[in-house]
Amino acid sequence: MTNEENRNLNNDVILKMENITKIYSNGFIANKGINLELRRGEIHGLVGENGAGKTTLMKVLFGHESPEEGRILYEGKEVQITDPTHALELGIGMVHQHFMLVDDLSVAENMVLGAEPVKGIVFDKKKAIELTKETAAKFNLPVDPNALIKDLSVGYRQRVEILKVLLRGVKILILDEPTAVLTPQETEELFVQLINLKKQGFTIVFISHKLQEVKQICDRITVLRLGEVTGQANIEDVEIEDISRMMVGRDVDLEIGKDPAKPGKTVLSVRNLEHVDKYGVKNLNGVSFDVREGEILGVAGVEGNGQSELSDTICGLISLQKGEVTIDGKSIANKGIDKIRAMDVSMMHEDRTIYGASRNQSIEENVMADRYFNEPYSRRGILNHKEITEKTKELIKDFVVKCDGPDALVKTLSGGNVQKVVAAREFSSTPRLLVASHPTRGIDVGATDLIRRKIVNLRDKENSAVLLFSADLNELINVSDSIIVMYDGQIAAYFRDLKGVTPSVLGEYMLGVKRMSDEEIAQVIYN
Amino acid sequence: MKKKEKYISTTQIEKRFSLIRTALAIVISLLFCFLLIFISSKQPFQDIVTFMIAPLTSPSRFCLMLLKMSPLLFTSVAVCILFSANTANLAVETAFYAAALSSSVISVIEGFAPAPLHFIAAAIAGCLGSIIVLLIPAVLELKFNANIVVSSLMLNYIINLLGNYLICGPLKEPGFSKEATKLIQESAKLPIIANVSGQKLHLGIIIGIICCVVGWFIIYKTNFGYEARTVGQNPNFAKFSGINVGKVIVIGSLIAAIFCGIGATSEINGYYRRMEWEGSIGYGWDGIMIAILANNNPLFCIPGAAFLAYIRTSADILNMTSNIPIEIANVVQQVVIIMIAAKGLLSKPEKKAIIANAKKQAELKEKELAENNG
Repeated sequence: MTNEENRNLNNDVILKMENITKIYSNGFIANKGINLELRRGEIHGLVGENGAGKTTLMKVLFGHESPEEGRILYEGKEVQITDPTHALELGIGMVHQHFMLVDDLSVAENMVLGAEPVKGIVFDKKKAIELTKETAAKFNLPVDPNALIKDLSVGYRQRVEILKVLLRGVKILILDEPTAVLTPQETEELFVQLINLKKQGFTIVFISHKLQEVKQICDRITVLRLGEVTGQANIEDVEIEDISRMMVGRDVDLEIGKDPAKPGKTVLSVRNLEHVDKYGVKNLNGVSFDVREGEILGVAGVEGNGQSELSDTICGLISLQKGEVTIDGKSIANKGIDKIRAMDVSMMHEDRTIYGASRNQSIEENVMADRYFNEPYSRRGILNHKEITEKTKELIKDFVVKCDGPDALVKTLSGGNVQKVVAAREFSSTPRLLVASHPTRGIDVGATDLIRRKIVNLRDKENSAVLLFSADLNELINVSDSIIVMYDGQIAAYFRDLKGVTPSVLGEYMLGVKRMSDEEIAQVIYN
Repeated sequence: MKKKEKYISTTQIEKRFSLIRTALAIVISLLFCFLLIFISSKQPFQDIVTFMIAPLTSPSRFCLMLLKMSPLLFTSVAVCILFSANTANLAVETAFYAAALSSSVISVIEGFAPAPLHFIAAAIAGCLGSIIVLLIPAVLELKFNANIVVSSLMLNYIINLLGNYLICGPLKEPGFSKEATKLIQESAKLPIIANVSGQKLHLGIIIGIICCVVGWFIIYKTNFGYEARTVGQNPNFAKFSGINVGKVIVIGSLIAAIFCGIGATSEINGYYRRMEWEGSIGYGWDGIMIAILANNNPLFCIPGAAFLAYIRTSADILNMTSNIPIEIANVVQQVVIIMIAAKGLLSKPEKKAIIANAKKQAELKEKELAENNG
C-alpha cells in the first residue's frame, strides 16, 4: 500500500483510474477492471479495436457514464466525477468523435457555448470574440472568430473543438479518434498542434486504432481488448506488430491477397449525373463513370463531396434529377428501391443503424428483408418460418456472426456483428452490382477482414460489379481494383492501376490540390 | 460437451420485467381503486369484495361481462394491426361508429336477403364505412404529409357530428320516440348462443375471438405482417430493403377497418334492436388501451379485453348494490394506462438484474475457459 501511495504522490502522475468496471443497462460489459495512469505532459495512446471499451472508459472519466466499480484519482485525490461540467471544472476536457458544434453559430459563439460571457443579462459577443482570439494566439491555433461553423472544413472544426476545451482551462485533453474524419494532410497538421500542446505541459489522451499514428505521436500507450487492458508500454519499447497483437489477440494481416481483376461487360453506367439538394447546393456536378462485372471500383473523397448523393441516387433512396444511371443497360429513372433491388442490386448504406438494420427485430427478420416474398421463404403471402430459420442459420455460420441464435435481436449484437448481418443479407443474393458505402466503418478487425474478403469473393465467384465507398484509404487501395476520387461533386481523378497509389497521393486529389486532366478522368468510361 | 449452466439473455430479462410491469400496473390501479372505495363507501369491505368477484357470482353476470368484452376484441385487434406498423391512426374510434351506421342501412331493409347473407351484406356495408374513415388520415399523411395523429383526432369530431346528424335525420325512423333507426331485421341478426336469465349472449364474442386469432396470424405469419412490423420498427430500414411503406400503411388501415366493420355490425346486430348510437361510444379508445396492454399482440387482446370487461361489469354491479358510481371502472382504466406508459417503472431493479446477470455470465465464461485450459 505504501508503495502505491508513494507513486500517487509522484508529481508525474496527474490521473489514475483504478479497477474501473462499467456495465451498460443492456448487460454489455464495456470495461472490466481497467487501470489507467496518465502522466503530466504526455500523449497517451488509448488503443483498441472498435468496441474494446476505449470510448466508454473516457466517458467514465468525463462524467458521461458512472462506473459500477472502481475509483478515479486526480492529482492524488479521489474524485467522483458526476457529469461533464464537473469534469471540465476539474480540468478534464473531451473532444468527441462527432463534433458538438452548432452549425449556424460563429466560431466565437461556439467557443463560449456553455460558459457564455455576459454584459448584464445580454450575451457579450465582443468578449467572446476577444476570448477566442486570445486563446487562439496563446495556443498558436489560428481561427477566424466570425466564421460560421457550417462554412468550415472538418479539420478546421476540429481545431475549434480543441480550442473550445482549452478555453475552459483543462489540463487533460481527451481526443476520441480525432483522425477518423481527417485527410492525411489534415492529420499531419493536427499532430503538429498536439505536439505543441504537449510541450506546453498538457496531458493528451489520444484514442485510436490506427497504429501508425499511435506509433508516430504517442509517448506511452494502454491497449484494450474486449473491455480489458491487454498491455501498457512506452512507445519506444514496442513495434506496431506488438501493439496489433495486444489489440487483436493474434497476429493480423489486413492485406488481403487477391488476383488481378478480370473485368467483363459494363454493369453500372453513370452519365452526367447532377444533383441539387433542398438548400440549392449542387452536390453532384456531371459525374460519369462505368463499373464492369468482376471489378471493384473504389470511390475516395472527403465526406460531403457528393459521395453520399451518388450512392443514394444509384440505390434509389433519392430520385434521379439529371443525368443517366443504367444497370445492365436498363435505366433506373423513376424506379423505387424495390425495382432497383429487383435488378439484382445489393446495397450497404453508410448508416447501418438507420438503413442497414432494424435494431428491435431479430437477425432472421433482418436477413430476410430483401427476399421474404420469394419462394421458399414464403408462399402465397404466408411466411415459411422453417425455411427462413434454416437460411439464417446458414448465413450466421457463413458470416461468423456471434449471437445467441437466429432469433436474437440485432440490438444485442456488437457493431461488427451487426454489419456482418447486413453483409450476410446483401452478399448472399448473387448481386450483379453491389453498392457498398463504408462497409467496415467503426467495426472490429475480425469483421473488417471478413467483409473485405467477402467483397473480393463476390467479384471472383459471382462476377459482380462492386462500387465501394470508403473513408479508409488503405481499405480502398487494398480492396479496389481501380479508384475514382470525388471532389466538389465531380470526379477529380481516376486511377486505373493502383500500383504506387498511396493515401497521400489520393489525399492531394481529395483536398482539391490536384486534378487530373479531363482525358485522364474520361478513361473511367468504357463504352 | 459444455456443462449446461442456466443461461439467461438480456432480452429474456427485459421480457420478464415487461410482464412484471404490466402485472404491477394492474395491481397498483386496483389498489388505488380500493382506496377510493374505502374513502367513499359506507360498507368498504363488502364493496371491495363485490368489485373483485361480482362478475363470477352468477351466470347472468358472467354473460354480461362477455357481452361487454365482445366489441373490445374487434377494436383492439384493429389497433394492433395499425400500431404494429406504427400508424397512430386514432380514427379507429369513429371508424367503429361509422361502420355501425353504414351497416344499419342494410340491416333495416326488410327481406333484403336470407339469414346469414343479410348479416354478411350488412357487415360489408359496415366495412365500407370504416374503410373510408380509416383511409382518410392514412392517405392524408402519405400524400400531403399531414400528421396522422392530428388529422385522425380531428376526423373523429367530424364523423361524430355527421353520425349524429344521420341518426337524428335521414336514418331515423319517423315517428319513433327515440333517435334511432328502424328495427334491425331478424334475418340480419346474429344468432344467440346462450340466454342466461335475460342476458342474451350473441355470436359476436366468438367472431371476436376468431378475429383476434386471424389478426395474430396476419401480424406474425404473413408477408404483410412482416412488412408492417418492419415498417413499424424502422421505416428507413424497411424502405431501403425495398418495402413499399405507403402500401403497407394503406393495407394495414384496410385490414383494421375490416375488423372494425365486422365488429360494429356484430355488436349492433347482436345486442341492439335498432342502431341508436348518437355518437361514438369509446370502444376505439378502449381498443387502444387493450392493444397497449397486449403489446400489439392480438392473442393477448383476449385477456386484455376480458380484464376491461370484468372491471366494467364489476363497476356496473357495484353501482347497483352500493353508492359507488360506475366511473370507478374508468379510474382503474386510466391508472393502468398511466402505469403502462411509465416506462421508467422498475427500471432500476431491471438494470440491476441485467448487470448482475452480465457479471454472472462473464464469470461462467471465465470458469469455462479455465476448465477448457485445465
